Amino acid sequence: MPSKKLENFSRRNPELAPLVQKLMDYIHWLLGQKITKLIPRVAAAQLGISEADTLGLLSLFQDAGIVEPRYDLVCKQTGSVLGSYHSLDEIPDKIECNVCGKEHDADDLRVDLVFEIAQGRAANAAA
Amino acid sequence: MDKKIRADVEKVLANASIASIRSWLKSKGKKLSANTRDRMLDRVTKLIDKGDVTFAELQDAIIGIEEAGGKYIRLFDFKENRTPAEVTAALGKMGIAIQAKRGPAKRNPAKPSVDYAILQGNILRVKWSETHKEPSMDFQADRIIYTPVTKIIVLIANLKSKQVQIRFDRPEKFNPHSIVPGAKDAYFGHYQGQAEATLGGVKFSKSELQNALKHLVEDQPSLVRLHRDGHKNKRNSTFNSTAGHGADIRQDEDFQAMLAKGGKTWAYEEHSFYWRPDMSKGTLEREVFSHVDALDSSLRVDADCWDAEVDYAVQKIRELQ
Repeated sequence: MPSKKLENFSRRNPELAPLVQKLMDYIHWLLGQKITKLIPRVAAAQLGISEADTLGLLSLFQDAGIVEPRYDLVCKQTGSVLGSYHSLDEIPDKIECNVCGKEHDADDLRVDLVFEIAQGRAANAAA
Repeated sequence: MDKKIRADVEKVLANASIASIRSWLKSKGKKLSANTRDRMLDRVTKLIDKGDVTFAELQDAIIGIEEAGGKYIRLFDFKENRTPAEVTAALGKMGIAIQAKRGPAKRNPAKPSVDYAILQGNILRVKWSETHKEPSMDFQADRIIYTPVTKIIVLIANLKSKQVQIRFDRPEKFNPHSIVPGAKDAYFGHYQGQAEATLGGVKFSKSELQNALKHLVEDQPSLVRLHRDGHKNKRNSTFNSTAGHGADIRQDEDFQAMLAKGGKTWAYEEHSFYWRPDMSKGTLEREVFSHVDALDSSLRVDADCWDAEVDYAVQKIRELQ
């Protein structure tokens, strides 16, 4: 685990070290599958812990520069991601949905917090 | 048949569906085979006339139906410790007096208002009502008509388990909190804020329901007939599948193959199912529909549900969480 921050955290919190390693392994697996985003509730299912605890771990990975938060704008009807944004302020009030072919406003959309994997940092950390 | 009783029954049952009354009567050991409103009114009038059901019981059942039927229920947890005395004080600060028993909602109130607040042991129950406007087009007159619709919101909070449910009626396009796109969120947000305030300024967090859905899908014998599955696999792909009418999706061979291959890594997101009466130890008299959405920690139930059915659904989800 070459990430100094993760190493130090795992040393200080040995009970959490297996979860940190498991999350790192999952991130590495995603990269191997050429998937660049991590969804907290999906990661929670892989780790067998709550979504809240997974978000806690992910904030640690964010501090280590391995993941960065993004806001995915999702069409509620189809579950398709229509756009991905760095901050909530960037999210448009309306958006044309490629999947439905309709213009959606806030009532038709959902915002999901996801984490983009910083590929270089994650690959180094997992090495 | 007593005409006065029948007139009173008709008034009380004005907004109740036949199915909800049938289910409630069945729970009291009474049958209702009527399929028309008139025959239902006749049957209930006769039961009251004979003393098999009291008018007070009927009124309470109707309150139960208006507080449960068709509700969109959001589930929350909170961390703060709150005593009944602290909650009573918080309600007092909001100008809400505690009452002994629940009552019916006000119809089309001019502004959002509290119908009652009850604190029994560690359980706080508060009901609000407000009026939304449903727009529709009168094409002949070429104008928009705004129809007022009463909306009922019920908070049920357990101070000991720190678990909360807020039951919402589906909002209309225009509500007292907002009329712009996203007005629904203003409506939901307003009552979440009110609920947090009644508990002395606690902060709600969404209850995690993934685990409950996992149990409902995987546990055998199952509490439910699973109608619709919606999950993400570990590659972030979303799968939705819906069973044919009356069937359980788990009996489908394609679904079984998918579950066997990757089920352990699924993130359960939203499912529709029917609670099985044969697994309810006598609580349910019929199959009861629920749609559980783990993304916004919510539960939806049919319009013809009544209190005991919704209480059962919420209780089971809480037990499996």
